[in-house]
Amino acid sequence: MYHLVRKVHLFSSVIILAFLGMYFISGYIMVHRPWFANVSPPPTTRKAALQGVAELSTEPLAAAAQEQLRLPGLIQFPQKQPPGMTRFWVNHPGTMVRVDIPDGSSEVLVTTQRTGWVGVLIMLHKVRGYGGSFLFDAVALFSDIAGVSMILFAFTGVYLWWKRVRNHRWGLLCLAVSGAYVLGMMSYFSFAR
Amino acid sequence: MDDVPAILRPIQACSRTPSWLRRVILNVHMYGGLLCFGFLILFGISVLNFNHPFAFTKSPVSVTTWTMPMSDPKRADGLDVLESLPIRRENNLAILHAMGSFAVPFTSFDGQWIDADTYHAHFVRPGKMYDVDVSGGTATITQTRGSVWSLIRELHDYAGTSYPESVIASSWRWHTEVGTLFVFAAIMSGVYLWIVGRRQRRIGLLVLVAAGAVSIALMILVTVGE
Repeated sequence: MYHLVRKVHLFSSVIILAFLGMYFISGYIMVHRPWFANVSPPPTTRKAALQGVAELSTEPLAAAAQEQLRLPGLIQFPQKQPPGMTRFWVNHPGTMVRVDIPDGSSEVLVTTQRTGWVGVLIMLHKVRGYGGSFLFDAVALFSDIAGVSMILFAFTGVYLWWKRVRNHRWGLLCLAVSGAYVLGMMSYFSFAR
Repeated sequence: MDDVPAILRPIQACSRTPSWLRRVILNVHMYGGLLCFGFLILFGISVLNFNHPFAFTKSPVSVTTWTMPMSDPKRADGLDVLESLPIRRENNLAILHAMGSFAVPFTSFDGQWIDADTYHAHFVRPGKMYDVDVSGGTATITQTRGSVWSLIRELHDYAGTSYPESVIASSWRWHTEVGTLFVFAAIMSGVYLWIVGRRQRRIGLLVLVAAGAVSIALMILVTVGE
C-alpha cells in the first residue's frame, strides 16, 4: 500500500509540474499584472448583420452569432446583461471579442481587442469547461487531470508523512494551521460584510 | 549509476549531498507540503468546478435588499469615461466606507449615473456581490450571497485581489503567493529526492517529459489554432 501511494504521489506531482507549470506562471502574472504590463493595440470595432436570430434566447443567440461571425474561442457571458441588449465575449488566447446585440435587432457591434503575450498566458489560464473545439476540450481535460492531481498529491502526501514519521506533532500542527487558515478565511468571506 | 538515464546523470552527480542535507530537504518537502494541504485542496476543487459547473454549485444562497442613508455621490457632468474615473473611484470608496464593506468594484470603470438622480455601483468579493443605487440621500443595497461552491470558485478567481479596506481579506493574496511557491518547492524537492533515490526514475522521467510536451503543444495549438 505504501509503495502504491508513493507512486501515486510521485506521478501526481509530475503531472502538477508539467501541467500546472503554465497555470502557476500565468497565475503569478495575473497576481502581479502591473509588473508584466505590456502595450496592447487599441480595440477595433465593426458592425455586422446576423441572419435568422430574432427568436433565439441568449445562449443559442450567442452560439449562432459565434458561428455566423466565425469567431473561434469560448463564449463567456457577463454576470449581468446590460439593459436593452445581449452581450457576450468570445475569448481566444491572444484575442478577446465583445459582441453586443441590441434587443430586436440583427445588427451587431463586434469589438476586437488583441492582447500581447501576457494576455495570451492569462487567457490560457482562463480556458474553462467543455463544449468548445477539440483543442479547448483537450485543455479542459488536462486541467481536470491537474485538479485531480492536486487533490491526490495532497492526500497521498499526508498518508506518506503519517507512515514515515513517528512523531506526528509538528506535521499535525502544520495541517491544523493550513486547514484552520483556509476554513477561517472561508468563514470570514462568508460572514463579514 | 548505470540505470540512471543519461539526461539525469549530471543532476545525480550534483546531488551527492550529505545525508543531513537530504534530511533537511525531506523535512522541507514534508512540512512545506503539509502547510499547503488546504491550498491544494481548495484550488484542486475549484479547478474541477470551473470545468464542471453543475447547477447545484451555481445558485445563490440568498438575495437581500435593504436601504440606508447615504450622502449623494459627486457628479461628473460633462466629463467622458476616462475623465470621470477619479470621481467615480472616490464615489465608490465613499459608498464602501458607508456600507462598512471591504468589497471592491468589479472593474476599475464601475460606477455610473444611470439617470439624473441615481448613481449605480457594483461591488464584488469572494462569497458576496453588491448592487448599490444611491438616490436622494438613500442607498438601496442588494446583496447576493453565493453558496459555498461559488465561494470556493471565487477564492480562486479573486486570488490576486487586494482589499484596501481589509488586511485579513488581503492575506488571502499573500497566502496564494506563498502557497504557489511552497508547492513548487515541494515538487522540486520531491523531484530531487526522486532523482537521488532509485525507484521509478525512468518511468517518472518519461511521464514528466510526455506530460510537459503535451502541455506545451496544447498551449501552442490553442493559441494559434481555431
